[in-house]
Amino acid sequence: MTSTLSVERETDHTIVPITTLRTVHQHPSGLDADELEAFGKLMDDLRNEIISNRGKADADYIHRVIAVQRRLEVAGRLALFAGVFPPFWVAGAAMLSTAKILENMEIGHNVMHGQWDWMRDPEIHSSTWEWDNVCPSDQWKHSHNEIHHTWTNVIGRDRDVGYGILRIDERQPWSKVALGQPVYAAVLATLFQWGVALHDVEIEEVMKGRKTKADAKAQLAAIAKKGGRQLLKDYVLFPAMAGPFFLPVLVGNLTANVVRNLWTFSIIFCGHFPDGVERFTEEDVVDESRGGWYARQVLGSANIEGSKVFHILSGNLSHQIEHHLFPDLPSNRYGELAPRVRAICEQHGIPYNSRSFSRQFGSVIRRIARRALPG
Amino acid sequence: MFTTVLERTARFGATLSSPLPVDAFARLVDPLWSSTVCRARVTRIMRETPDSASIVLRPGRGWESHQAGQWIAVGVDIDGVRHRRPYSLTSVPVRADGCITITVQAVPDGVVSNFLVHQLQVGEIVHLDPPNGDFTLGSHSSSPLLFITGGSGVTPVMGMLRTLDAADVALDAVHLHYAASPDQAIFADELRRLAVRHSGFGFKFGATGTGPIPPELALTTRRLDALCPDWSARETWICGPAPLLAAAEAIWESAGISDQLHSERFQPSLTATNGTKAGIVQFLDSGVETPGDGIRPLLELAEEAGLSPKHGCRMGICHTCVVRLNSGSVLDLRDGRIQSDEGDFVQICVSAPCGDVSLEL
Repeated sequence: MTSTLSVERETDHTIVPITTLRTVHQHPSGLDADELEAFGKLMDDLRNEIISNRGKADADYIHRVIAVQRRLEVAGRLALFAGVFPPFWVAGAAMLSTAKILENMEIGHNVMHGQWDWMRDPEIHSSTWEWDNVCPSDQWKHSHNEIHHTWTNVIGRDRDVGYGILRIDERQPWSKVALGQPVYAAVLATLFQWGVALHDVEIEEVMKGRKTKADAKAQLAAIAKKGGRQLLKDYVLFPAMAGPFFLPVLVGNLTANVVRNLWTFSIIFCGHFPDGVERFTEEDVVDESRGGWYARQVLGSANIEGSKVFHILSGNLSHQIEHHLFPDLPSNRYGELAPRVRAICEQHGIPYNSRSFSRQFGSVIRRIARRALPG
Repeated sequence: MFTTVLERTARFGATLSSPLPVDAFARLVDPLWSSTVCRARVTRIMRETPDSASIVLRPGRGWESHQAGQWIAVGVDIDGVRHRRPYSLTSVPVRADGCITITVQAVPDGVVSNFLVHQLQVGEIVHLDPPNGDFTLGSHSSSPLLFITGGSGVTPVMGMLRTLDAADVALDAVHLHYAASPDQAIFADELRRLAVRHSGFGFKFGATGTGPIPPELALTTRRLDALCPDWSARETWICGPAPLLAAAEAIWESAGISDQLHSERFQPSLTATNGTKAGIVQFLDSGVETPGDGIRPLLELAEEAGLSPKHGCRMGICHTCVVRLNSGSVLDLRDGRIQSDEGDFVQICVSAPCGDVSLEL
């Protein structure tokens, strides 16, 4: 059985429509079953190599990041208490922003992926970690680990494609509502943690009758409880402790949360929506092999180049391709895997998308603007 | 009034540190500060024999003092991975310096025991579970006592004898101790000195060599009569390898005084019986699958699959590790008993999968 599918393969600068004749089961990478199997085998080998040699140095790394993050958080909050003096406010807000970024990205996101479960430390474990974010960890683990990582960039299945708010792909239906999406994107970026929190409630599924209202209500209650505690901490208790100087503390905490929101939005959108990253249809993943799944992760992800500090602050999601190939390997090892994955991809003719932050983010912005219009 | 203030302070602190517990920040100041778990710092390591060492630990807040003869599960990070194993406490329960001691015998291929005996450094932090076990003197401190120990089975008894010694009571006890050779006999010198100081304490040592116990040293009624003529009038505590325990249990039973014999195995005698069957083990709650060979216990399989099931003694005593069986059969490695009813509680530390199994873990 064959079908004709018109696919736009986008390069950095130009959009080149190509029409291919594909069998329904042909993999979007264009590789045949044997080639995919060989590719998958090489990826499995890389994965097994890291699993067999992860050890004390890795454990020391995450312990160190956690210690630094907590010290930054304490120092940032203390400095904000003296926030009536501008230098203290700036230093405090910067330290608290960095602490929240580290907690959500390099620590929380990765711990909840089970990257550190092998240490068998009950305090640094995917089953127990609760992150500094209004989204309850169990809901995040469902929407992110299960849905997004299994169905990466499959339109209609991966709910991270536009987060149900933004039109990312020309194959998503257009309506007038999309015209406002540059504004929606800015609002989503600013309030990103709330967007993430509401994501797993799947309001559209409830409206379609595919999810019960009771389930959604229970999730909303959990978000309200966790969110309430987060708001109480950042906007009532810590400011109140500063007495007459409550306002600088409150504004500092708000700044830190917004900075973290903007940063995580940017990194995450750069991971899947720059030019050159493919999105897939449900037919693309019919009977997908393990090798096929690996190849789709590469096609559907993009890396961001940068310094060591940049990689850590991005939670090593700057190595989005390696993260999607190996979501449960310790994040500190993605950097050494990247050149090896890239070489294997090039060998197999699988495009490997890696550019600077400004280029990736610029193309994401252009895409959001372009898809506001029909086509 | 005071407690409500404390509770309120604790609740306030927990909200400030949320979603992390207060401990997460307290340990930045002192790694032993915790209100939820107990950690300890290694303050001294004393070699007892070439293959054993006593480790002095200073526990942080939350340590509940133990009874002599009990054990604790000690958690250590080896090559980045947390391992927990039970070890007997050999110190008196309340030392003046607030420290406790465990004594560890390195066993061949024992990852944790070899690490503790040969690689652990003073200053390292270990994790402690509350003390556990009913191999204690109870109300018998002033009764005539008999102790029979083999190898590192001496460790809980050493804790009891040190405690009796410190209590300054007239000791009426006999201790028969077996080890492979005199230089492998943990605490032999201290026990001999104790016998010199207490006229009511007799210490008798037998070197068994490696391999099966020589017939002339085997525990028999006749040998007991020779070494401790009034043995049947004494409350007896025995700890050591399975054959020693089996011999004692038979003797005490035929004398009709089984209730006077208190026994503890220091290592499980896990022997898979015939009928072992490989299969796939499903840990349902964790969504993890792993192959089982029908010989190794479920707890080990789960740990290798990256899970960290709650557990204690790892030898089928404490029931900390029980989980519900969802489907399939499991084999009790101690006695070959098969459990296969849905909803059965399985002690995963001593049970191997028998074919395909799914567990609520």
